[in-house]
Amino acid sequence: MPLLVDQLQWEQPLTPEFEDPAWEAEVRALFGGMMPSVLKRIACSPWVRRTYLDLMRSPINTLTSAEVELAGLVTSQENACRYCYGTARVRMKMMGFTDEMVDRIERNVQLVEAEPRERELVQFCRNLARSKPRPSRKAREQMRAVGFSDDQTAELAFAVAAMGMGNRVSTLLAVPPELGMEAEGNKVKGIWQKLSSWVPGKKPVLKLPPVDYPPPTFKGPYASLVRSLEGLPASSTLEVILNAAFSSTVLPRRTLSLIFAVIAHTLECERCERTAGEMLDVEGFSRDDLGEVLGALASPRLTEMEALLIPWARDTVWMPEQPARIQERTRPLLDALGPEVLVEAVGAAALANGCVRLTMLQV
Amino acid sequence: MTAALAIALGGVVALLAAAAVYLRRLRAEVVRHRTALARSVERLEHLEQSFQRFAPLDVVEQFAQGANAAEPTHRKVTIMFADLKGFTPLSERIPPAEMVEMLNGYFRAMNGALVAHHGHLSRLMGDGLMALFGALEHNPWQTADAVKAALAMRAALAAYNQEIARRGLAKLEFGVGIHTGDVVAGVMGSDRFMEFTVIGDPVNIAARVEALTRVHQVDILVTEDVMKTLDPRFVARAMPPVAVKGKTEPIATFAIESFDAAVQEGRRRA
Repeated sequence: MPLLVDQLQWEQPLTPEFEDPAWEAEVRALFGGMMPSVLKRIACSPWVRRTYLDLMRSPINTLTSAEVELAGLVTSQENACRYCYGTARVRMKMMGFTDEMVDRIERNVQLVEAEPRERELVQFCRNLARSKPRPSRKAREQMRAVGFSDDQTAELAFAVAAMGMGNRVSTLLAVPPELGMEAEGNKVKGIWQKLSSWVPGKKPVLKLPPVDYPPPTFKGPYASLVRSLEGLPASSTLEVILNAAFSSTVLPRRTLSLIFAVIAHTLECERCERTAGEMLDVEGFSRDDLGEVLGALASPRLTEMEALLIPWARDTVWMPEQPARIQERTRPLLDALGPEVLVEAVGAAALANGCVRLTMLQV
Repeated sequence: MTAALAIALGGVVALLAAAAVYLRRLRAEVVRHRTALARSVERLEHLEQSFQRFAPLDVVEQFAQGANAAEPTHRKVTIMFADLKGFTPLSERIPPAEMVEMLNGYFRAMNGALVAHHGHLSRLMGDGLMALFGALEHNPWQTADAVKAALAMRAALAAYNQEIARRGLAKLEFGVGIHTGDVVAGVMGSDRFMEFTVIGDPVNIAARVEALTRVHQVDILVTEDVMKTLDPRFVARAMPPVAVKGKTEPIATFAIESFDAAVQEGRRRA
């Protein structure tokens, strides 16, 4: 069983809170006056901060809010993200889940008593978040067998991938947990609050206005992955995110492609590795050079920044049981590259991990 | 009329009182069951956590999910054997409790180096250990990981020797043998004792290579199959091939000296 929220060891934050009044005003307007710590600590990178926010706001059409929150809790626990795990628990309680229900899901051991649909959902999220190995067609068939439509499975996979990206950003940067929010959420609720959470039509406390992007063009990076979500709002969100990431002025397109290639290679995703290879071709990075990088996680063709990031990217694929270990592993990058580049690199690794996991919809 | 109403009211009150008693009992029953369930969960968690000392977390979880979950599979795995040299005579000179404490400290230090390089400790055999790389998840860099782990173990042993020297104990020396190849990985054993492990010829070869560290008077030896996969940053010295039990051909091995990141830097600047 993965560790519980209080068992996780968490380092001091790696990045400061960046000041950006316009960004802060936008976030506060969306969050009813609150400013989540993570959105300040990644504020130096326009695409990373926008990605984080968009993923929180990407509409999910075919699943209930409770199912999405459940996916968030399970994924955050599986990735040992203290920040997201803590907030996911609070959100579930705000939605009306009792302490016992949350406890039952976290501890996993009582899932034999759950409904087949709930049990399969939890197992699907755990397996996809873990990806040891990456789930395949069989996992989708199992979901179908308990009543999930293909669109629901696709949206669930997107929710797990999106939460996994958030988990990696928060964990790799050791964003301090939202202890104030957690304490508020853990307070014993009055009978009215408990009852009112079940009133039909009542909005969950932290419901953010959804993003509204135009339909996807399927022309940008990883277009086939975007197409696997065709017909769902997630496809637009993913296309916008990928386009923004690959247009970064801080992290070169080549470096981002190399990070994608390494993570795809670790997770045995030939399709993603091939796409990364094609993108590197355009950048003048040959297949032989890529072969050397993937063989040794090093190459004289790498820049100094890439030589640091490539072996580290591999370590972001499976979050260790104790997050402090990967945070200690990440800290030297901060010293060598500075906070701006680190935030971009963390965003890139998080995005690549999410995308490669999402390719389970293509097999 | 009033009397009838009073009787009816009395009946309702009696019914409500009975219902309240019943509800109280029901609630007590629910609390009792819930407490029992919570205790069972705690016991199960404790068991699961305890088992993690004997088998990797993934394997324990697979077992918890179902008996057929941990099916044996063929896979490419890198196997490392490490053994303390001259520990048996040393152990005869120190009290058992002190010897166990010294060994536990040694295993703790070795395990830290293994885990940091994507390996896992599979088995302890007296003062020896077997570690695996790539047994639990796909790992395309498993040979390099194993050799880096061995180098980290060398450094950890040096640090540990300083620690035990302060306690007046003799320094420890080890031999490490590494080989790679296709094995069967899975949970094996009888209904009384089981473990997650690997079997196959590569396992025997890795054990033989570890024994060759005494012949060649070196601490880390790898086979040619491992050496072929390593990049130029690994500095190694070829050893003369030696015939070993169970093999028709002599085994060629390489002594690992260091990992020199500057080699790559030099190539980058060239």
